[in-house]
This record gives sequence, structure tokens and C-alpha cells, in this order.
Amino acid sequence: MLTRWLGVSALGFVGLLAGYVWQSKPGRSTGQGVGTSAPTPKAAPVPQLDTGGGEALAPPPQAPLPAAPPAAVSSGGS
Amino acid sequence: MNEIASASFTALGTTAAVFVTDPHRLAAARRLLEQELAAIEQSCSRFRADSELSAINAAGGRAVRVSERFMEAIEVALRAARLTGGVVDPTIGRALRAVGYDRDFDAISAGRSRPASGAVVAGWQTVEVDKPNSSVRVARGVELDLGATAKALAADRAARRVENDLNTGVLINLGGDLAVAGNAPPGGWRVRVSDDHRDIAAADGETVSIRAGGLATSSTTVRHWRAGAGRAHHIVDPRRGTSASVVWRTASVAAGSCVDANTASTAAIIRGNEAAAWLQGLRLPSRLVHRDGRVRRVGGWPRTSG
Repeated sequence: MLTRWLGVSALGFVGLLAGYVWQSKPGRSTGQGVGTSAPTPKAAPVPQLDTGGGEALAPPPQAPLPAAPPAAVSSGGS
Repeated sequence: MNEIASASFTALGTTAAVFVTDPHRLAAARRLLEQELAAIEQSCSRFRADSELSAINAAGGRAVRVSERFMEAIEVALRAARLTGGVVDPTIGRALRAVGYDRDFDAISAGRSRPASGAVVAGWQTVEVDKPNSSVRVARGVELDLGATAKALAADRAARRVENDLNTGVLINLGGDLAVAGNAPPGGWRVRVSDDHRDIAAADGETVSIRAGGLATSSTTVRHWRAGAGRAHHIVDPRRGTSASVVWRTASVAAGSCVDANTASTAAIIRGNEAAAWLQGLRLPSRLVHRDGRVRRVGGWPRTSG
């Protein structure tokens, strides 16, 4: 029983050691460390569009208000 | 609105109008608008063989170098697609032709009826934009149409140029798609909202005032035609490749810009039963007219008396 326990422990230790050595190679990371991974290329800057460039459809600064006719301007199907 | 001056003319197959709060700026404002419209038509018209859009559609899958103007227009169109879950899609050109919208609308309405079919829409994700090399590519057989965003983009650009260059309050109206910039007149810009932008006294419409941003209306009641035994209209549902089912015959939306307003109003028609909740979630003031004429207001659209 003791021999079997020692065998399993030794195998586990060797496994942990191998994992540590593998992860220590340059460019490898589990994603948790900082500075262990190769530098990632910067994303291309998103162009600032002149119009409608936000990442959501933008509400108006002020909602339309009720108004009395007549109106000089018309919005309808075209 | 006594001090407002305006001019209107025909462009892009519809009525273009500019309103300014400083009447002395009207002539210059009209020139700026005409420049913007000429530029957008040269870049984005589906009915001009010499436009950049036509060159891309005819390129057989090759990349085509484009102007800054077209690059802006295609990026605005792709953003609209992204923000609407793909229901406002610039790759519907072939489907539009299949439903019968294959020439200027005046020619369609005067022409002979023929059955409408549909076409598979490739999807906006297939458009390849190479910004560093100023080129755009679509796969062979894919056809772009920027109708849902290009006109609104021209309205936004023109309004901003008039405000910046001429220092006047301005409203641009392109066939019912409105962009506002600068100081509004006292009481705001009064706008009649209805099914048809040509009917400013429509009994079934209502009047609101706006001060900034954009307001757009999409409707299936004007640009439609007989197609065999049925009827087709110009708003294509890219999921089906045919004219969208009509739940709402007209959708008017106010937003931060004309592009965003027209993107949302077009998406509302296509989304049908889901439109009201979607617009409410985005806090976009909207007026939806059901096909039976009932009106639904969401997102803070006001209740008006007439």
C-alpha cells in the first residue's frame, strides 16, 4: 500500500515538474500571468466615422415634442 | 417659423430640401447640399453604371479601389448591419433586383407587372473592406445596395457642413429622412409625420417638433408595385431574400443622427412583431403604423393632438 502511494506521488510530482518546465518556455502562458506571453499585435484603430460611428444606435438628444400644425417639413415614406 | 428659408429640388429619385434659420445663407446651403448629393450618387448609386458601387458589383469577385466617400458609406452600412443583427444588410442588391426593383422607381411604377422572385442574401459579413489599401471586395454574384444608409449619410453630412461652414441652423430633408444641425428655430423644427412624405397635410399624420439629431420614416406604402398576383415593396428582409412581410406599414424613428434613425426605421419594418420591444430597448422614440392603420408609439414618442 505504502509502495503504491509513493509511486502515485512520485508520478504526480514528475507531472507537475514537467508542466512547470513547459509553461516556462517563452511565449507560453495559461492566460493568468502578466508578461509571460508573447506580445500581441495591437488591433488596427477603429476609424472614427463622421456620422453614426458609435457602437449603438444613438437616441436623440431630446425626444420629439408634440407640436401644433401646420408644419413646413414632412417625414414619410418616399 | 417666419424666418426660415427653404429650397427644394429633385435628387436621388426623390425630393431634396434644405431649410435654414438664416435666410441669407440659403443659396450657399443649397450648393453644399447639391455637392453632397452629387458625391453620394457618384459613389453609391445602384442605377448608375459609372458609380463605385456598380464597379464593385460588376468586378466578378475582385477587389476595387474606392474613394474616401465610398469607404465611409460602406463602413456606415456595415455598422448598420452589425447594430441591427443583420436585418439591415448591404448585400441585398441581388434580392432587390429579384423582387423587381431593378431600375429607377419611376420606371418600375410605369412599367409592366411581372412576378417577383427572391434571391439568397450573402450577408454583410462577407463584404471585405481593406482600409489601408482603400479597397472593397464582394464575392462574385453578390451585389451591394446602400439604400438604407447612403441617403441618410448624405443628409447628416450636408447638415453638418451647412452648420459648420455657414453658421446657421439647418434641417435637411431627403425624401422624408431628416437631419438637423445648429440652433433650431423657436419651438423647434415642426415636422409632419405620415405614410407619404409628399402629403404634408395627411389627415392620418401627426405633427412633432425636433431640435437635434435625425428623424426618418420607412414605409411600404409608397415604393411598392404589382408583382404578378401579389405586391412587392423595396424593403427586403435579408433572412428571406424577398420583400419584408408587412406588420407595420410605416415606421418613423427619431435618433441621434439621420443614419441611425433610418437604420432603425428600416429595421423596424423588417423586424415586424419584434420591432416595438427592440426600439423601446434602444430608447428610440418611434411611431409605428400597423397595416390596419392603428398607431403605436414607443421609446418616448409623444402623443399629439393632430
